[in-house]
Amino acid sequence: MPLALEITGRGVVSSIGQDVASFSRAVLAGETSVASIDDIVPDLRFHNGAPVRGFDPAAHFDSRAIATIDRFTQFATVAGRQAWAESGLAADKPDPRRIAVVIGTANGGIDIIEEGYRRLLVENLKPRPFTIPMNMANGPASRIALEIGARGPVFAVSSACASAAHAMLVGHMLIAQGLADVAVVGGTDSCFPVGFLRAWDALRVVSGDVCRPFSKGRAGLILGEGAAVFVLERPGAAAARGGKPCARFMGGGMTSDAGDLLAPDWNGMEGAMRQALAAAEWQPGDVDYINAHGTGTPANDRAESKAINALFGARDVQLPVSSTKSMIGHALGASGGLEALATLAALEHGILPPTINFLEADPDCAIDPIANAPRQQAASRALSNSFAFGGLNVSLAFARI
Amino acid sequence: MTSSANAGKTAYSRAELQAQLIEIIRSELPDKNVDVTMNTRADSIDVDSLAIIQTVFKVEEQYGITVPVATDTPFETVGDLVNKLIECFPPEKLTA
Repeated sequence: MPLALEITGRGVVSSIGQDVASFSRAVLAGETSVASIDDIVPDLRFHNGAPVRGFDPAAHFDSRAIATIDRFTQFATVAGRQAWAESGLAADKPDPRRIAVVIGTANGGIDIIEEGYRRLLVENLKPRPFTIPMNMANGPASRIALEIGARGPVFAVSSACASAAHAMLVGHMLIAQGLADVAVVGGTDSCFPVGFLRAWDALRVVSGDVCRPFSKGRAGLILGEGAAVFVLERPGAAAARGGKPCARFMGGGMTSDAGDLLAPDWNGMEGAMRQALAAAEWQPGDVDYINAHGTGTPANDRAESKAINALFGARDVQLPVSSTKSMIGHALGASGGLEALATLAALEHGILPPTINFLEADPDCAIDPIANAPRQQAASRALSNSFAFGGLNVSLAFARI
Repeated sequence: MTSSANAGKTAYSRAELQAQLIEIIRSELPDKNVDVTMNTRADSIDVDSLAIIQTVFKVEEQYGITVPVATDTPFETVGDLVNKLIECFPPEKLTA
């Protein structure tokens, strides 16, 4: 029997919206938040990004809290508050020992580390007193636990661009194993410190113009950032307190390539999706939509298309696949969470988000990319893919209520 | 604030340091509107680890001194902490 957990709460801080309604509306309309980042650092090989603009920490935290939590923890905490509020659990008061919090991050607190080195090496000052706890990767999980009073399993997972997706699967497993009744899960990352942007510039995988997943002429990824957090509960939990879940989370699959550090292997991707189908007890023909990892790099999109065709190629009708990274960039450790949220929006509203900036079909990417315009099309079952540097692959399975 | 009031200053009397250090401690409390004196008991104003670490950091920065006080040092009153901090001032920074 698959374990169809209920998603009872959702929260988001992103470049394209700082609440679920505005995020969903923008993503389903095919809008973009990718724009010039020359004001952050002007002399890189790339000039566009999708930072979270207009996020005012003072609107969410008092000055004492701001001195102890870095930007990635602020994002996750605000998203976590939204998810907790939507779940209605604040009034329900579950046993604190039965609440888990698992938040993924690729970067940890890189803003405070960069500031510390600037103070130390440029300004001849000491690092700030809370540099260590601000930097710790479990900062977001611990902060959310502190605010909601979670006393069960609380920790971070880190797997580069698959961090949020791994965190969501771990939450599913904690409930399945009987270690928690409620799991607050998701991912967060802050990605626009100057030194970090220069490091991405050095890796030469960021596009010089925009992100064009699966399209001919694609030239790389565009960096984004933000956080997405979800509340997972056992079947029937929402109805027991007079609520309604947003969707069902069926579990997923995870594999490792054990091959190249950076170059993707379609076999690992296909394996993760195959496991996700098995976890949900779905056949390939049951899936209505895939939210792809779709970074816009030549290699990822080629390998992901091959994996999708290997698993779903025998269908009568081509499966719609889109990459919302074309609109919100690649938020690294948060990306799997933001894309899970886009997937839930597609299931809820019956609109499939597009892959924007699409120029021309690439024979290496023989998929239906939902090019440039959203599609009115009901979907009941969807996968959301996240693949990471280090050869790590996750695929999550979601079902409409 | 303290730093601008002290601009160019090299030495302080005990009384003015007491007043300035109490003000620094008060500014780092969860409730900044509370009255704080030398006799205020630490457990009555919620002096947590954050407040002490921030206080020590501010004192080091503003007065250019080193405070070798462990941030988990127990103290009963605000005066105990203030006196510990004043002990960290080198003699040339104190006036009679």
